Amino acid sequence: MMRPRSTIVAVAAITMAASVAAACSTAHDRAAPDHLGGRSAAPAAATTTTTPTADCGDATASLRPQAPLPSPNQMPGGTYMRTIQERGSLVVGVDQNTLQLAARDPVDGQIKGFEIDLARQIAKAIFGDENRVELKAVSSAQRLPFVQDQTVDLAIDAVTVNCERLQCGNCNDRTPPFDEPVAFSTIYYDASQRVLVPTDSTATQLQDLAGKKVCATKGTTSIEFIRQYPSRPPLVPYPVKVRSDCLVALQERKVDAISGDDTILAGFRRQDPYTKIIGPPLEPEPYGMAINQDHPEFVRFVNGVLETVRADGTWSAVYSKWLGPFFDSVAPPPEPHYRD
Amino acid sequence: MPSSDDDSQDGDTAARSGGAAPISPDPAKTSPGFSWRFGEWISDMFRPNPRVGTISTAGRKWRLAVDWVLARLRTTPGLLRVLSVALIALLAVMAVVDFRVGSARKNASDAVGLQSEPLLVRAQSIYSALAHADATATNTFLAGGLESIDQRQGYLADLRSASHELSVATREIGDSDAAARAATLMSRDLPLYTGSVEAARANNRQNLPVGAAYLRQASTLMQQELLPGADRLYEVEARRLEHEYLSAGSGSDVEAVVVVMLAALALLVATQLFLVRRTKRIFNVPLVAASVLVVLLSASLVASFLVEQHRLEAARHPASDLVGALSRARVLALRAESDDSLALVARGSGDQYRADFDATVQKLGGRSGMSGSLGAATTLTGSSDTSDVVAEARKGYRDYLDVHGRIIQLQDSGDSGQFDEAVARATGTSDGDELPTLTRFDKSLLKGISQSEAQFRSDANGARNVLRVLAIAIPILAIACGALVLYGLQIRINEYR
Repeated sequence: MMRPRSTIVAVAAITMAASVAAACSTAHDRAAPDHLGGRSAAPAAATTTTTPTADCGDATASLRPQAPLPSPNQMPGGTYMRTIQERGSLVVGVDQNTLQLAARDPVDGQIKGFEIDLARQIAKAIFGDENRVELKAVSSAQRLPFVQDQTVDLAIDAVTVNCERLQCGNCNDRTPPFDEPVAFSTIYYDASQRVLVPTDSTATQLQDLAGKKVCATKGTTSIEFIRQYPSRPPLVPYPVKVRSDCLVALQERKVDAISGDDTILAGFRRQDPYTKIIGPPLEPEPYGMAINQDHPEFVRFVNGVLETVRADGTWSAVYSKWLGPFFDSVAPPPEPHYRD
Repeated sequence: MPSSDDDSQDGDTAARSGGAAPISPDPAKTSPGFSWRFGEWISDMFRPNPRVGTISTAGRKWRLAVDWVLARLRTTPGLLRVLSVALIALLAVMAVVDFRVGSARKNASDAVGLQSEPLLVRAQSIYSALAHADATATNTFLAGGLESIDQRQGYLADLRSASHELSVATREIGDSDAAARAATLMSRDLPLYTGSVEAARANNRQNLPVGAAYLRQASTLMQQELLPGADRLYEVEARRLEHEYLSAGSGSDVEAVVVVMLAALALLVATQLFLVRRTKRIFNVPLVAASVLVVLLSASLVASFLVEQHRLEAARHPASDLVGALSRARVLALRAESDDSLALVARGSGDQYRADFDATVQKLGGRSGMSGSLGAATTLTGSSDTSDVVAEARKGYRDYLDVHGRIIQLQDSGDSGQFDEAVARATGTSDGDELPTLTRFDKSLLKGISQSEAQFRSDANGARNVLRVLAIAIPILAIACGALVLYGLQIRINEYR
């Protein structure tokens, strides 16, 4: 059989195509028709290989922190941290439906998880009090616009750092301020896109699901990946507004699979033992905290806090509390990349 | 009526000899001692043209019958007999017309009072039970995994009443396609809704956030399918009620009653005039009594139509309108409460729910409760008993807005602790919290609704009772009239023996 092989080649081509599609420079605009038409066609891949992502470079590279961090409650005048300090609380956009990362505990109504603990670390650095944080629940489609119009100080919501977002937030939206680039902190977690199916499914990898319905969240890199995946017949994307809606769709057998970050799928598995993760990792999903581009000093500050958190073992403690049980029980924090 | 040939006094037997030969009686010879020009004129009219040679068999039979009647008309007692037959027939027609018109009115007014209005009330209560169930489910979720006994029982009671009312409504909907379709869709979606709510509850209790997703699914089903379905049901029933008000109060049938009454009266008067000439007696008492009865019957019919119309008008305005305005207010209040809970559940990203809250509140009563549905209810009550209840509802509404304002303040303060306080105010059960305030408001609305419904029922029953009396009165009076006519004429006829 030659089908699997040709599919794999096509996957590689499309993965690259997707990453270019994600790079929303003028080059992206020129290349766009090719991607739309070239779902599984070689010319698309050719275009991809000749268009380097050089205009973005290493998307995960952020701004270097300025050591040392200012003491809590003593944020330097004129900085955005000062604004936050004077306001009295840090406003963070988070999800409230993703078990392990950020989920509302039905018993006490509090949002808890890996990302929430990291948000508290940043509040602690500003106020010396990790409780001075206001959590705003955001949907995946809302999180970057909320950063752009400064509804939130930062979004910690499993946001994959990529060139598109670095350059124009959501490149399909051209209305100011939503066409502005979004800044990101250094990577706080390296996730990867995987596929979750019910335990009675015979599929062992994504291509076995050709022609089947695959659920993913609107406004994420995962749904784009499903849309552009070159299987025949193509996958049928089933976009939902809120992540956990995918689990409902799977449990009611409205879809055949869910595709999403392994962190999110881990949360689903914990909620439903009749599910399993199949196939190899599809795409790296490096998570960064999204910050408004007008506050580079705040980006540096957050990166400084992340440096501390990585170095003093807090990251590892938080990791083993929330994610360790599902992955490697001990994992090193992701290495920070800086572009300056 | 008695009819025999031997009491005829005329000597002309040409008609009886019958046959195909056209008779050509000499007018001068007919009815010795008795010449009634009207009778002659009529017999002239029916006199066939002798030049017409051939007549069909059917024509002959017809001719025979006409000849027979003409022969009767030439004698006074014969004429009186024919007159009494005509009068009885006309009175019977009048009785039938009156009875049909009356029962058509009664049916229409029954349809309003016994069918459409209760169905409309049913559609309204389905809507509010569903909206209340959804508001409770959302609020329960906000409060945490363990709901209060009151909330759980309230939710179950709402569901029971919604599905009960829905099944009754489905039975009573009748021939309305749109309403039947709406009810069918609702019957299909209601179990799906409750299934999702219970899945949400079970997951919530196990601390699994997918519960929130099930609740969202349930709420979406409620807002996008079930409530619009209840709304369609209500619209269809409201239109039907409007139509029935119009047909139950229409004036065209009064004309039919008046026309048959005038016809009967005309013949009665003509008969009496004839008797006066022929017998030199000024009054035939039974016939006069019959005429009076005919007038009485028709007048009472028209009068009771007017009374029925008036009472129906009262049932409709303000009673029925008031039920409508207060029910709308209730539904809007529940929607506002759902919005408030959903905004808290959305936790900071619920601007759409807040916008919907503001829009809903505008329709409900504005800032002071003097506009929107509450304003309409206030205008409708005027100075009736219900106005106190509506004033109470307005106060409850303002209290509710106050609590809501404080919750919004807490929510926007940007402090996690304050947010928790906002949730506590929204879900709490002590006096100044949102739920008890809403419940007070809702209770006064309910009280207003049941008072106006009682008023409606008494007005609509009044209208129906008036017509019920007619159903008995019409046949009795008509039979009495007929008996009087027969008696009155028979006296005269007997004088010719």
